[in-house]
Amino acid sequence: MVVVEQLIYGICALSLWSLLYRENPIYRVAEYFYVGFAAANAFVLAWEAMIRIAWTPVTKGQYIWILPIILSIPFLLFFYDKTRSTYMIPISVIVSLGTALGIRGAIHAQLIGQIYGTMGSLIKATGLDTLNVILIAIGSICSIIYFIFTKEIKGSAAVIPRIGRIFIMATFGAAYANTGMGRLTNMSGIILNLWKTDAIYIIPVALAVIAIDIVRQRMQRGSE
Amino acid sequence: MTLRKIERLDPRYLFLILLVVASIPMIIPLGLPMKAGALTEKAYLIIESLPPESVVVIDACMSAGYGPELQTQFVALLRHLLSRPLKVVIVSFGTEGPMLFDMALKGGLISGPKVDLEKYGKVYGVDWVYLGYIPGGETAFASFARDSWMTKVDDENTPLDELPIMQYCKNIDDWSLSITVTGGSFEQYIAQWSAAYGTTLIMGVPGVSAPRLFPYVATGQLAAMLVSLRGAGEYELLIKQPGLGAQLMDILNLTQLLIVLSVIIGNILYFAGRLGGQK
Repeated sequence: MVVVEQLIYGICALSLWSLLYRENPIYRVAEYFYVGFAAANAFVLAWEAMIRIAWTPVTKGQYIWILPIILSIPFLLFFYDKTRSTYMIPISVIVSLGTALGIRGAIHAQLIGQIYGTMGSLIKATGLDTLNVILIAIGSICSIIYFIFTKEIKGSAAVIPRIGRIFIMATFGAAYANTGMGRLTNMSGIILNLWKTDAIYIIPVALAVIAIDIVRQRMQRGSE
Repeated sequence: MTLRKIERLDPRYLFLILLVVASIPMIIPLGLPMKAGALTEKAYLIIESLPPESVVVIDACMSAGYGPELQTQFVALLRHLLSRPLKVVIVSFGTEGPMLFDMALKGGLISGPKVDLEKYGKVYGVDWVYLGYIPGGETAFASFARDSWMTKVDDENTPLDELPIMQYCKNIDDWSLSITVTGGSFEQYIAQWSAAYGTTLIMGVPGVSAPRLFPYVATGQLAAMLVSLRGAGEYELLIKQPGLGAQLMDILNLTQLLIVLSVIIGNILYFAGRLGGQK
């Protein structure tokens, strides 16, 4: 069973990587397989959670839990033209609840917390920390000013949005580098598993398929 | 080869070089040195400083798409939690979390060796519990914080009142620490757990999301953070249980080096081209 699992792993990984060579049907099959599997997994889990969290209490006399079940039915009616509009009822409940919760959290976490963290105190325990906080404060102010488009900032003040742009570029650079690290991490994991498990037997097969395709393409070009 | 030719080189050659470079540590293990970063060490110290019987809620919200990046973090954190006399409540707010939590216990390709519960002498229902998947995103974070018994049963449908550990964990006021290993909804966790109730929150995050979360670390809303595979590798070293994270660091270091070299070469070519009058 472990061998089968490793072989499937190898086939899926190399099929997805085949996109690096070029767009091809093997890649698409692997992609659909992944998306389909994730959707099926999400459906089963959602169903089980509904039974566990809502339906079981209803069967034990806690009838209030029938409400979320009733609210979920219009989502299924979405697939019929005549009843399609009913899905707006649960959507409106979800959106209103989500917005109310989100605003409460956003004000605390993202507005007050961040303003306090940025401007609360510029003097910290160590010199480096103080410098860090000052840099964050300057970066925040300059970056916000960079996004003021209603009035062109001219003269000596124009240096402020320019500094803001440098801070924004540095942030994007850090995000890019971290993205690269993340992608390389995934690749590292796959490389390790391809080398250390029975998935290694898939590599020569994949190389052979690519070699055949290269030869086929060259022959096609030659005949044209 | 002229500059123009190098500039127009088929990127697929770079992918090939990348695969070859990534395979080097498989043939010649390098064992490059590694030192724990400040954020990883802080996460470790927070867990180390928890008094016995403290309740820790850990959310397995990983996704298979992130591969070992998040999975290794979760495994390292779980090993540390289980090695201490704590009450560990495991939950999953992500659809792929239950599957990956199962993989962590059994061992797997993106997980490393299994987390051997017998080795830690932990008893299910007394020292740890798994509450399963809770749907609902931010609404569920808020509900679970207000009422940690909201699922009424655990993942195996055992009523929570039959599990002694749950007597220690009624709501967020009972939590000494909350941990989430996730690829998204960061601000929502911070808002509903840390900002709303002031509970200590540690996150395991993918590398791509780290820059947007540093401001929350600076304000203390996020107590500590494990970043990408590097965070997992460092954590494994701190708990003295090197696993898949530490093993992958050699490959990661070498490939990062190649990317840095490519960026430098690309810039040199670009500026050389400009000086030479190329468009």
